[in-house]
Amino acid sequence: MHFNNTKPFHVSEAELVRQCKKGDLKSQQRLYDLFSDRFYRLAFRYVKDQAEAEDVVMMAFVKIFTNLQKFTWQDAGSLEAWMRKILINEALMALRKKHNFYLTETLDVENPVHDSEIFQQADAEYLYGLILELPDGYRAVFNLFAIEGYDHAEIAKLLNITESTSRSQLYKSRQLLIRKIKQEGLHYGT
Amino acid sequence: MEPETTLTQKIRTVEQKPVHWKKAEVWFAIHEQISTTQKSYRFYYYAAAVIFFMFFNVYKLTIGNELIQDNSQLFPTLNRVENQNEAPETRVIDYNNITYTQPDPIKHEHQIPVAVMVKNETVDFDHEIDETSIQPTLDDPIANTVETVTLNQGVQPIIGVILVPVNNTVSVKPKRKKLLHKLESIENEFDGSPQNTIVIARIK
Repeated sequence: MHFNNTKPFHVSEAELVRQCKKGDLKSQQRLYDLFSDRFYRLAFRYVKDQAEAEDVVMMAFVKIFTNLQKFTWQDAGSLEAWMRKILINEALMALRKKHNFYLTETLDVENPVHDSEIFQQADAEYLYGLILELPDGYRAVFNLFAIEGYDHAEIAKLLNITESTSRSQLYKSRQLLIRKIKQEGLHYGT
Repeated sequence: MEPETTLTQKIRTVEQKPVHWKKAEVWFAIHEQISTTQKSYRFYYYAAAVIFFMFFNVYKLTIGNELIQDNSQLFPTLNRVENQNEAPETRVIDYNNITYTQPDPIKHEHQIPVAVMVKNETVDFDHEIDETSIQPTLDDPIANTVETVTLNQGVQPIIGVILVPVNNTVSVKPKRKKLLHKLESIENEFDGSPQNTIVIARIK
């Protein structure tokens, strides 16, 4: 089997979804080909293990193809957003097996102050690596809040923790990242 | 939130870069999983369809039998036409020199013609019968008047002769009529010639 990401995608996303709903194997493979790489790296950012990330991608795509009938295509980003939600849920399920978010300590953080300029100036690959070095609990909350855009209420619901725990986890993860960037020096790039 | 948006964009840009991982193996695993799921779903659909058709056929047969019975009651002439193909075997019963015909109740227990008790007078063997006069024809209006009725299943027809009961009961104490003639003493009537005299006497 040959996977080629550089091949131009002639079929529209809506048409691709329609073909996948019909059970067309080539369209399903095309959909997998389009999104699997970024989804693998997304899964890896949560579970930090190659085999586990592959399992997460596999389970997520099985769920995507099984539940595709329920999905209604709205606009260009709707399919990816829907698939991303499924993948994040799978990643969190995998993470919950080895990490208990409920036991994470909580700090009273009223107004977390973060040095956002450091994140702006840092190289993207370097930042990605730094996020991977965070502990599981911190990493999950940071990923969900700072990258995926969930609010604390949603994070609390997803991880079965309180909102204050989510806030304190986010604060600690930021502090850790900034400290590491300051220690190692800024890696300028993209 | 500007910095967060920048961070999100940075990370997503990184994630779009191709990396080396077991992409093909994962796809085979996904494909296998999907086909297994589809097969299991297909099996359940087929099983459900088979069960449905079985129940449907049983229901159809039951309803069909009931309709046939209802139709036979509503349209007896239809059954009469159908029964013309297989005529019931008749039994001949002889009773007091009068023969009665009776259909076989085992073979034709559902439908018995009303005019089944056809009285056939015994014919003297010496009597010559004009064969052409008694040959039944299909156009005979008498033959067409034979109606059929449907009896419920399991009811055996009882065909026989109702005899007029003979009242042989005799009263134990017969009524005695009172004699209108006055009985007189023999001495007054008897004049010596008893041969010519009827003696009516009561023995006490």
